[in-house]
Amino acid sequence: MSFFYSSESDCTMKIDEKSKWLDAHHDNLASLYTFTQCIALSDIHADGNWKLVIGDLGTDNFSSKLKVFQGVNLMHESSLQDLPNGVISFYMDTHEPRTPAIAVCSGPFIYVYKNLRPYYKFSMPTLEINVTEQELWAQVKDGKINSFTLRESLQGLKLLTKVLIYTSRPESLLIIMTLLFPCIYILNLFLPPFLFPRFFLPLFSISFFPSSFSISSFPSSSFSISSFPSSSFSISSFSSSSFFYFLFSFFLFSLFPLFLLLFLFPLFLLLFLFPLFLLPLFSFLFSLSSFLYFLFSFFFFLFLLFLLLFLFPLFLLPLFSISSFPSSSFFYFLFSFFLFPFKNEGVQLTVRSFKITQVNPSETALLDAYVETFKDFPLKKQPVITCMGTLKKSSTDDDAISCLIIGTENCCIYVLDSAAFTVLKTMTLPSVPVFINVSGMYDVEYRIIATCRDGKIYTFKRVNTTPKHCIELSSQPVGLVRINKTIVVGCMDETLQCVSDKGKRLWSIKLPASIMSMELLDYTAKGISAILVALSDSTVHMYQDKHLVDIIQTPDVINALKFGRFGREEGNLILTTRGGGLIVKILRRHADFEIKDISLGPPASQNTKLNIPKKTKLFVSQSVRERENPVAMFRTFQRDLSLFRLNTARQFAQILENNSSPISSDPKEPLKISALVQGIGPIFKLMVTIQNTSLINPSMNLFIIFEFNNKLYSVRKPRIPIPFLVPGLNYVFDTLVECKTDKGISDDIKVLVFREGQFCPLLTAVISMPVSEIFVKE
Amino acid sequence: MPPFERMDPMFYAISNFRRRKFKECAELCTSILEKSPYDQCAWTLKTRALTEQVYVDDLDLEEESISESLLDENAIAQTARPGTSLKTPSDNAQETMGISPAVRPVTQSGRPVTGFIRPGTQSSRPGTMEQALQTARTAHTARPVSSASGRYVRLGTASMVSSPDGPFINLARLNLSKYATRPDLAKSLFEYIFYHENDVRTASTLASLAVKSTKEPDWWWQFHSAKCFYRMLLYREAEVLLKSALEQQETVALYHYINKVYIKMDQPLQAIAMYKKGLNRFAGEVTLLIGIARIYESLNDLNESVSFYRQVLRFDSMQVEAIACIATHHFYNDQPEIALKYFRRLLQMGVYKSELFCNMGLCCFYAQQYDMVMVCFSKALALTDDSMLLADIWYNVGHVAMGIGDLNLAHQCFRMTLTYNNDHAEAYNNFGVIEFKKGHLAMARAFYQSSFALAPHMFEPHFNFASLNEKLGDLQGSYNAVRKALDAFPEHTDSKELIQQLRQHFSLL
Repeated sequence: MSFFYSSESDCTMKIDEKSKWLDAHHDNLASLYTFTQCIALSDIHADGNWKLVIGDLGTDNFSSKLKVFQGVNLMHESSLQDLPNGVISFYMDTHEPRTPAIAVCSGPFIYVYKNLRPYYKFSMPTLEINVTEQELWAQVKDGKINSFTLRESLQGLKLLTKVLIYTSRPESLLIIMTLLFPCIYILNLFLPPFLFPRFFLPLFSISFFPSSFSISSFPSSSFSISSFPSSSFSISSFSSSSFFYFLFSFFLFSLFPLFLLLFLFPLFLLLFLFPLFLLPLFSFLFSLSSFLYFLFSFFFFLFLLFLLLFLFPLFLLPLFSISSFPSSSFFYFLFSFFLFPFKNEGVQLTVRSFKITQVNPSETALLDAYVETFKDFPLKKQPVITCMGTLKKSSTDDDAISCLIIGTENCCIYVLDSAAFTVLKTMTLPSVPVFINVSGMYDVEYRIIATCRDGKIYTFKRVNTTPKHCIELSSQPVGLVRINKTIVVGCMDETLQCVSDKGKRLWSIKLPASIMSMELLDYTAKGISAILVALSDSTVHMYQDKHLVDIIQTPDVINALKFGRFGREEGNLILTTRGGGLIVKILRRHADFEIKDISLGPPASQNTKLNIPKKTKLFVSQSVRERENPVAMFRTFQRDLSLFRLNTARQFAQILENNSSPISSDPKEPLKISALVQGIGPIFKLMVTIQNTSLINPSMNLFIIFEFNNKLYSVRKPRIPIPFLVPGLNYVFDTLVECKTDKGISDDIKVLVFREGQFCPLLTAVISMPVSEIFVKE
Repeated sequence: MPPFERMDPMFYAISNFRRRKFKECAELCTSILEKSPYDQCAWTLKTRALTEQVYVDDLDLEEESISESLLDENAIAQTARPGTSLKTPSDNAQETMGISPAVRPVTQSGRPVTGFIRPGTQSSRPGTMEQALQTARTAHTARPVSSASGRYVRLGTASMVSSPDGPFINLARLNLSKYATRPDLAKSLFEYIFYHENDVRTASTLASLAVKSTKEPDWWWQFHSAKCFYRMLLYREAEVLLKSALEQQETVALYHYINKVYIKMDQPLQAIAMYKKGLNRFAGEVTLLIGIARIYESLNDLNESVSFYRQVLRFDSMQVEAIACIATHHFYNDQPEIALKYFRRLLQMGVYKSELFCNMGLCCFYAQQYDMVMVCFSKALALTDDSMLLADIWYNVGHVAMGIGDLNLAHQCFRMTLTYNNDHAEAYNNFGVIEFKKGHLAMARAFYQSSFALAPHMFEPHFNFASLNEKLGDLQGSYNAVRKALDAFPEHTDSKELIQQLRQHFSLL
């Protein structure tokens, strides 16, 4: 720890016996604005002194920097072209000494640094550009259309719905499919699994799913039906041949008893009652009326059958979808099922076109300048990198050569060879990956776990180019950590969820605040692995398995955290705060890591005593009085009450007659008025707010007048006409009122609302004016 | 010939002064001075007589003005730790004492209402300029003045009007250093300048000259010099002088004044310590005890406050403020029968007021003495003409009506409340709830809106608005409203549950 010099403004080493952490360094003014993905710890010079590499986002778009810290001192700084999106350290060759390279991804490029010098720049392979978009730019270049038209056309292109895309395909196919799907699925229920014709499945999937039709874009809830009996998590397999087999076998094995119950009853009805209805047919075979009766019953039963076959499965579906689904999920499901082809998804534009659609159309100069600058360059579409990971090539050593795994905005994951920088493999996803976790070796077997923006986790193995498993989450993921064979995901709904890598949900914890970032604490020296979760209430929680073992209080909200080797010390925790601060903590060697859930036991609120005063003797004696003569008391009360009611009603009637209330009593004119005085005098501002509280009836032909003592006050606008009042809106009218006296007295001012041609006010508000200040004359 | 003609005019003037006939005394002195203009005795007596006419006891609290509360630079810590400042009353106290806004209504500044209206309890420390400029509701006459000095200037001019042939003493031509060396004349002259002329600057000059002229420091002059500094908002200087005055001579007035200074500097704990020091010297001094109780009350530490009010009653069992505050405390602590006892004590003492009857009515109702309820309210209504008070009484009757389930009567009562006082935010809120129960959602919405527009410090309209919005499906609007409710009352369980629900809705996939 020799390198941690605490500067004078920072706190010195604090030793707290209970804490698992030592405070090594704290600098509030480090001005580091970064995310967990952009922090790496690396032995850049291969001297065993590990450095901290941070891709700093800076404070504006152009001040991104790559910063390297040795100890607490900034050792190296180089500016970056664009905002960094990930920083990673990896070994790319077998040269001695073993110096790792640093890969920084930003936009569609990966910049590789070696020995802190730029070494290689890799650009992502270009993608096919939409033909229309290309034509539009060509026309702009030729001067056929102006920049405004270009913007509008691109905007249209962006919002182009998929309806157009689907019209080329027979939509009837989809409907047939939706109708047949439950039938087949019911049929299968009555067949034992071993008799199940396996050959039927591929046939089914081939015949009803056109080859170009991607299953993944099917609405999620329709296929999230298979479910483990123990957990409410769902899984669907995506290799098209095994998909239905998966689905059905789960149903048959796990849910068969339930289905049996739900279906036996209607089946019983059908089997037993149907013969009864056939009776008339036999007894009065040729009678016309009975024949009609038979027809009726027959169709009625067809209808029943239809109900049984179609609606029951539909009703069952939401039951087995994930538990946190709202109760209306059934309708949602129906809705999404049938409206699915009209889902709104536009054409993916190039970055250049996308930026132009974001320019405000009124700023023509900016638009023209933008188009003028870029129109001569060839149009290029490169996928923007969203996340990055490393994968060992063929050896598990710490310093073995690695491949880069890159997730991009066009829903692909690329495996990049680090020696030649060629794409070894491309995998496609149904959504954009945001966090990626890789384990294994490229040449042997590996597993890639990617969480996507659609709130699902997809896993790949060596043989897959499309996802092998899909795990649905209850909310969007904000962090991903893998411990051994389990995946821990932090979700936007303030939960930490753990699933096995096969998709089985193991546990889920509700957190006290929303998650900022997550990091794995893997301390091999003591064999500890835990999860660090930075929360928005300025704490970092440490979970070992599902037990909360430690809470670190921080002065600010932590934006990014990294655990690893720093300097010569293992087990450092690097934290950067939202305000740009840098905190370094060291895990104590004697830290107690016994699993002891600190949140166990009854909640603290259980022990607090409620402050309810005891019943007093007085109360008891009064209740004795009440018990002794209840009848008299009740009678007096009732008599008083009815007298009071009468009085109230009288006064109320008087108010209604005078309309002296600020709320209109006329049901045809539901108006409400309120008035406010502002100012300290002698001139006050009187603000009158009128609202029409009806739902649909507007009011018109109204005006405000003020009633006041003209010796005391003068009102600038004694009569204010009210415009047409739209229901539900607040209209504010104001006037200035001047107090004419300096005697320190005040009076009431009445605000009256009249209808044209009527003599009785609709509304009245009384304002008691404050005592006015006087002018202080020098 | 009236008898006094035969008396020595000077003696008669003194006699008039003793009998507090200051006007006659001043006239007599004027006539003496006309005969012999250098009669120092008559001159002094006249200054004292004129002073006594306009004398204000400035030891008690005064209304804090808008300019002073908004442009306050005297507070020592801008963001004080909770419990150490009047601006941030401790939240902990709120939890442990069981005073939640759900039980005991709060004022605009987020304090539980007190049992006794005095300056500063209604609208102290407004948050924004707009709040400050709006008239405080129940304090419709005692609104914050633009600045304390401005009001004193007016008092000065008002006293000027009474003497038609110009001021008695021309201050500009006064040789202050000459008078400063004459302690017999200087004190009465000072009081005349300070209270009658309200010329603080001249008074301060005189006081400082007088302080310098004496060899050993004189506590009286230091005290009055401090008064001048206090008036000029120079609290630090006032504190130094008052401390040194206290070292020479301990008086109750000095303790009061130094605590006024501490409260202005937002140092309530220091003020309490000083009061306790004063109590060591003047054991059982009621005004000091009340001072402590008031500070604890504004620190939201109601249990401490009530214990000091009880001590007050041990020494002075007729203290209205103490009785009223203890009664209110019991009422909001679910012991209305005890509160009723205290209120009856007040009634026996002759406080025959409509507010008292209203409070007694409420106590009777909640203590289940139903035969007295409506009588009390009828009396309360009959005893007053003040529209603000009538509005409050009708509002309380409305509560009773809701308690017995008579929504129609409640509706009428709240209507009456709004008729008498159309800024009654609580009534608007309750009106909204009644309309909501009737199924008039648009009306309910409008009422909630006007309620929280009038009183943004109340959590009820915000919460009601939020739950209504949530039912109508406007989740964003509901979220915004419930956030405001939680700002006003962070511990409100229903709001917390609602916000939890909404968060779940928002984070759903």
